[in-house]
Amino acid sequence: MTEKTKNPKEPKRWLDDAGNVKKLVRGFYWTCGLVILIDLIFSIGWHKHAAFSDESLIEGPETWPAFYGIYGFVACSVLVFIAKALRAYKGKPLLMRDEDYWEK
Amino acid sequence: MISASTELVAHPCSALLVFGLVAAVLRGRSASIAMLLGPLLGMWIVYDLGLTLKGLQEANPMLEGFSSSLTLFGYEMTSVLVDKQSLLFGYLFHLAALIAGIYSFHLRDPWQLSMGLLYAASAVGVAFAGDLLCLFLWWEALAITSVFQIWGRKTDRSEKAGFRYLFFHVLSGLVLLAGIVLRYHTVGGPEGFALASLTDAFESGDLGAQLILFAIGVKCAFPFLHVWLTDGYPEATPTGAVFLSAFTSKAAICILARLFPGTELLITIGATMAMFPIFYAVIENDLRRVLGYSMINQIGFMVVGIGIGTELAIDGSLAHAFNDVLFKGLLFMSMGAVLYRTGEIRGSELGGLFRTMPWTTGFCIVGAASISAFPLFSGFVSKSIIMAEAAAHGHHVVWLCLLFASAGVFHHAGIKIPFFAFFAHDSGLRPKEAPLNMLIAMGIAAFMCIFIGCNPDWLYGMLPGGAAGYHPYDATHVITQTEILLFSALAFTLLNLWKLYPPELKSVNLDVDWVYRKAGSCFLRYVDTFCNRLNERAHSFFIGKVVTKVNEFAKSGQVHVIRFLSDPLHQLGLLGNESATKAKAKLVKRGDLGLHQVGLTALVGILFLLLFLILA
Repeated sequence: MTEKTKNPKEPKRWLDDAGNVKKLVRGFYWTCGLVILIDLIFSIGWHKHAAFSDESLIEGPETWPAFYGIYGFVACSVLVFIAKALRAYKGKPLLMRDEDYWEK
Repeated sequence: MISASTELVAHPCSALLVFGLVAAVLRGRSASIAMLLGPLLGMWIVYDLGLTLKGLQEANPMLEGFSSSLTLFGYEMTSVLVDKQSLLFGYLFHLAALIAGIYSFHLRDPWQLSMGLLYAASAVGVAFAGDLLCLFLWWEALAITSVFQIWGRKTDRSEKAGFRYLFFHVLSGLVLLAGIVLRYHTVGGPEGFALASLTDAFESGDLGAQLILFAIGVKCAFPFLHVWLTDGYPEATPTGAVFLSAFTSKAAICILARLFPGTELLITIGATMAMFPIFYAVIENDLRRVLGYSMINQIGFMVVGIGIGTELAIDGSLAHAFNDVLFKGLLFMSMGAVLYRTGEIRGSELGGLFRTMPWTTGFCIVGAASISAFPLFSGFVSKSIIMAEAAAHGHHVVWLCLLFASAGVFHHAGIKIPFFAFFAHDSGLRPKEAPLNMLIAMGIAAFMCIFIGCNPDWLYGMLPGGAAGYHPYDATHVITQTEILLFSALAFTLLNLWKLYPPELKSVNLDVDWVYRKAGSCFLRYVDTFCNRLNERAHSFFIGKVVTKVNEFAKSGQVHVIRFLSDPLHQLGLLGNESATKAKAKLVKRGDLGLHQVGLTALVGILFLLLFLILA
């Protein structure tokens, strides 16, 4: 099926170079910054229409610049930390079991 | 609903049915060709039905659909209902069958191939079902034909998983039947079988409607009823998971949209479905199980849309179901290709495959971008309708949940799947690129994802309400969506660089199936020991002791009577010439051994009774 052995003559891929990966990540940071900038300019210069039609608590913050960015970042961090805690909380496994758990 | 009645030449699923049977008898490549011809011919039949509907609508603009009925066992059944929704799903299921057929072109297992087409035919049957009775028949067919995609793997694990899967689907079918019978009982007549909205009946507490919702809920993978999906799909064959991901849950969404539009409860259920699986998906190691969880998450969005119940929201749900078949199919295909080539699907064992599987990597990224709803990809044009409608109707908490789920789905399906399979650490695996037929199938699905993302009006035009008044590509929406996705990716990148991201570990995670797989089997063991021990005790007491005692008691009674009677009988000369002691000893011994005839014993008994009667 698969050859597990690495071929020493294998061509080096662009992504194999750690420097290139770093470049890629740096480019990604710049893109994030750029999108925030666009959001900022758009929010100030033009009218950003709200998702909510009524006067609600979320309506205000929802139209703030960078609301979605902050929400996304926080949501994903919270997601990861809760998921990690679900695996094992304070060293005690909650949901995680050995691979052969069902066969035992 | 305003509809006309006509005679149809063929049921829309007949092409799939016939070619499914043909694929069962053919062998080799000709069976695979049947897998392609069936969906193509079927698509043409659906197209023809679409033309008929258009023709009728030109004559009568108020017309929404037309139906065809047949009489079976004295019941008139609306066997086919053609309207825009059934046509949409008709096209979708044929397209999915075609893609899955191409994907499994190399397969030489007649069971999987023919059952795959019959499975697709059942899904088309559900989409075109005209009443509840007809729906039930296709519903059951859907359950039975689908399980062969799991059993096709022919391992002990898949066999057991298949039975667990079947348990849920047979349960769903039975509950649906119970619901239909109850509806018929309370409403009566053809109205009881009508495929019309049951929302009011459900909300006024009608048991029949509740049971029907439960039955659909099983197939939609509602929370606590979802384990068949995350348990069964990862055990399916590489090609089988592609079939499975396309039909069952989407057929259920189609019916849910018909029967329960605007049911408030669905909003809560849908939001829960969108939320909870993402936590599981982050820590799950089996990448196809990750896709299973993200599938529940996507169905959650659709369920919310149906729960909101406005025309636009339901259009959003149907459009999302359409897109989900394509991008989830694409993701399942890319993971299937990895499994097919490496024999491995655990994230902890994979990584670095982009070197030798560049095309599969590319297609997987397209699927990931679509499910994450990147602008210009298909998820963007359908998921946003549901979100916008949730916001417009003041469901604030639900909206925040859905936004959380959107960020989360990018996190686990959009990044985790491609990253851990194709990039991450180098696993050292150097598999060949996926076979050509798989690449073609993935290519078609990827093309459709981008095509719909760039031309949303093509999809909107097929929706029942045409998604009237919705424009996905406005500046606010594009900017905010890009922002949330990029910052979710930023969180992933930073957490990974800071080594805070949970690594892929060889493990399984407990889910609701623990209840019946562990607690259930413990219960079974307990009942086994308890009941069997009780049985043993009862046996040794009743059979071993009581019966012997009764026997001894009855025999000694006889012996006492003989002892008592033998002297008078001897004196009467009835016992022959032997001495009294010898005759008595002989009689007692015979009594002790139980050798006296039953008749004699009975005679003595009767005499005694008579004596008692006389004395009394």
